[in-house]
Amino acid sequence: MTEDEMDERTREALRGYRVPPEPPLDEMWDAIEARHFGAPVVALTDRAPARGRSSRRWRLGAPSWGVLVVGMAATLLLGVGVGRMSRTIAPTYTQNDSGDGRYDYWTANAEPYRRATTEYLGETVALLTALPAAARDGQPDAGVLVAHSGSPRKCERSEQFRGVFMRRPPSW
Amino acid sequence: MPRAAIARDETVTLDERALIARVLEGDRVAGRQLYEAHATRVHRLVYRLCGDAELAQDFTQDTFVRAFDQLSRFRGDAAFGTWIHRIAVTVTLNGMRKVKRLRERETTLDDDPGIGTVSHRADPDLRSGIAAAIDALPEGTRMTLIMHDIEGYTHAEIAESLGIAEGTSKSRLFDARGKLRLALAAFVKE
Repeated sequence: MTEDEMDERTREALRGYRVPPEPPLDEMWDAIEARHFGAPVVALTDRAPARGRSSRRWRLGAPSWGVLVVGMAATLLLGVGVGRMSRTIAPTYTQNDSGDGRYDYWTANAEPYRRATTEYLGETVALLTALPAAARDGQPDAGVLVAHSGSPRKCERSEQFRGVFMRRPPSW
Repeated sequence: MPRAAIARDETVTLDERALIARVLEGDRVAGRQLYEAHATRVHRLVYRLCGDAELAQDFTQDTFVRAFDQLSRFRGDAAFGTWIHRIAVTVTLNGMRKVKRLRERETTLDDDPGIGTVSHRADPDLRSGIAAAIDALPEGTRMTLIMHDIEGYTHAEIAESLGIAEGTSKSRLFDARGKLRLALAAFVKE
């Protein structure tokens, strides 16, 4: 073998020394990107050509300070708005019976509740007073109620009660 | 050097400077472009040096992560490619020293009594015989041979990457070729 042939065979052998495989470029870049730049970028769109805002890429897990500040400001404004709106909707009375000069919602708004309670109690008294008289006149519904007036649950379970109140009228 | 080639080199340098500036600002797209421009060649060199696909992948990743981390120190005196190849060589050498199974490949040629008398019968394949001879070369000599004769680096690039003088690179290459000839002689005799 001549000198040139030896050189050629050596070069040929050198070219075959540890022939590298195809480098996994994407896989390696993912690791490099995560290690150096932080969280990986997730594309909300596929790899279509860029078209305005729809092609924007968003970084997950690391919102900017601007986004955080805007979010907090929006939450604060929403809270203030809800508070003011609820103040206009809720019935408020300027008179305060607490006497110590402080405004108390429940004291200031007790009057409507007292008025409604008095009205319903009055109607109940009138009904209970009128029922015995109606029973004496032979009205069956009134008789059932009077007979079980001491026990509402017993009244509810009785056959008579069902016959009077639970039966569906023919007109339904 | 032809004028067109010079202009192209300047364009590449300007582009790389712009990319580097963007990477320093945290632009990962620019980082990807810089990576794609050099990753394949870095991976080739690293694989030739370590001979293991997984290690080559790890070392290539380490190389780019370290390069991006230290990018602010890149002064631009040399080409970015030269700079990152120097990092690749350093990362690979340090990594290989940590890997136990690769230590056997780092034995010097002088320490291996059988390398100069590789038997054709013992190792009939010339290619594997050459590979064994390369593996047995001293570390610096082997790297110089791989970078120059296999990957096509110039002595200037090798000197920059390995941190040696160009004359040292040339003498190492001469030494490596001489030892390979000795190994090859065993095949030629028969």
